[in-house]
Amino acid sequence: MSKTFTAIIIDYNYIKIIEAVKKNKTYIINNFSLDRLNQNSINNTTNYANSKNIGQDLITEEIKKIFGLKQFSKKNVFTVLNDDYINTYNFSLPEIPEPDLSKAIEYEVKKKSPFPISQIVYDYIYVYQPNEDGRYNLLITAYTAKKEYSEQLVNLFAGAEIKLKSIESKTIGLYNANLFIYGNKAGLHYLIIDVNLISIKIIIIYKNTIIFERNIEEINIIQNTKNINEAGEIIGAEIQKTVDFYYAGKSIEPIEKIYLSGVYSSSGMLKNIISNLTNISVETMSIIELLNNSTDDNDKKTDKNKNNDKAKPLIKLSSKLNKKIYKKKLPAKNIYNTGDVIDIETDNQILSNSIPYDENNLFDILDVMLPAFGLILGK
Amino acid sequence: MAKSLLKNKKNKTRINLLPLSDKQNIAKRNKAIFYLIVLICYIFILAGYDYLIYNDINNKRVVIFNLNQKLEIIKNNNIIYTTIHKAVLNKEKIETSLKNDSSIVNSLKSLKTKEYKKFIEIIKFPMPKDIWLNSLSSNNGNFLINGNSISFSGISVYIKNLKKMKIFKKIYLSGIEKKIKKGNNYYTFNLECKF
Repeated sequence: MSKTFTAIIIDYNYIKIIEAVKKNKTYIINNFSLDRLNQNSINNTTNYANSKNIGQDLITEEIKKIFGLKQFSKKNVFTVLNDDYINTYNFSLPEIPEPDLSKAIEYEVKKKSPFPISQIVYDYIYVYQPNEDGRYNLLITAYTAKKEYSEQLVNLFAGAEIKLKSIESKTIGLYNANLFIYGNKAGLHYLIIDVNLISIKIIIIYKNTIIFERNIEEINIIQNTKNINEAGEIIGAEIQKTVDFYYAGKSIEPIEKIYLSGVYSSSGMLKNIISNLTNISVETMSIIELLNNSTDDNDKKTDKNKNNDKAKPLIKLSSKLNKKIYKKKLPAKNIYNTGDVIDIETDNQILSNSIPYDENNLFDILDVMLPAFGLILGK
Repeated sequence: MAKSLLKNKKNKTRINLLPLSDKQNIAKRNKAIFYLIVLICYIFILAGYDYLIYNDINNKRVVIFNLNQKLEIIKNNNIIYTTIHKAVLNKEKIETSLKNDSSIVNSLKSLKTKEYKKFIEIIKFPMPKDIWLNSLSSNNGNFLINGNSISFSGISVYIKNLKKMKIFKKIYLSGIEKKIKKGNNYYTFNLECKF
């Protein structure tokens, strides 16, 4: 039995859409797209929840156009509410039955939210954590947003003839992507950094609970940095600032690992720079890596001697997409200090001061889809 | 131990910030889909069950039809058997009756032989001169003698003579008639003789 899911993230001036089919334990990516909103929309997009109807209508039209052109499924559509409109609250509760738990969380949310409960929508995630008594505590992260923002988003999609199945947050997308890839092996205390086209998101996770998150907006690494060293330095500095702020007044275990996703996640050089600057080991969290791992898993399964592994979920590209992605794969391009774009040399080596990101390269586009894909993973 | 217990605990890792009304609509739709699926399954099960019963009935009908055919064959066989049995019985009866008949025939034969002997004796026996016989016949064990005589006395003598032979227990003169032929008078008589 298969189910098709589509995830949309309206990220500042970009609309990211990815469609995948879940068949047993395999996720098959059918289609994805990265579209830049037109200029009229952009002006309203950064604040779309508060924008006038004209801005919303433009985004609606854009979504409708993309869905029509690229034939994305409208069956199970997930999206995210802009992080600016979401408030998160962390608290702990003892293990209690589900109906009582809901009431207890509602009570906590009422206490913590500056808005009356009738004006907000909320939901929560939780993880079980054993305590010293041998019992369990629930480490809860509650997410609240004003109801009007949620309704605006519903209406925005309804205008594009799309009935939303759920509204989540980009943080949750990244968190679930990380859980999907690493499970409990991710570590006790780690940091996820998603380098986006014009923003960076940093999440700190402790004992599987999202303990801290930060959005760095309007940072446009691609346009504002001259080379990968500079990009690495900026990202490293932002991580350092975040970590310093996070640790201020706290004495908890050090951050063990940084998981890097987004536009430069496949760059080994960027990983090294960040690792050197922060003294924390860096790992990649990317759909391309997942595809490679899935291929490895397939190879393993054919090997009778290594057939003892539990069946892991696989990520694949649909045959149609596979043909398209390899047909359209462009050679990586170097963007020099001058901003000129030239083809890479025949020896295929990437120069140390180049930024290997190409907005037309489907592989590079796929790399920025992880938060959206994270919304689908585990559904 | 704690780790294995922890494995059984399912964390919640997703949120849905849709307005409550939309969530409720989705829940209602899912519920409706669930009931629809249950209904479809129920209909399928019923249809399947009906189909099985229909097949079963059809199979039983075929079995009954075959049994009926066998029964017909058995009945026919039984009729043939009864007929044969009757025929055998008839044959036995016929055989018995034939035996009886043959014994009767035999007895008749023997009787006829005796009668012939008696006829011969009667014929051989010297008759008075004025007596001549027309016919000798037997009826139900009786002898009928038809003869002619010129005189009554001749008939009387002939009866006495027959009595003397002691062949018959009784001799009756059942009829006498006077006849004239070419101017000559004579008497025709009938004698009934019982053994």
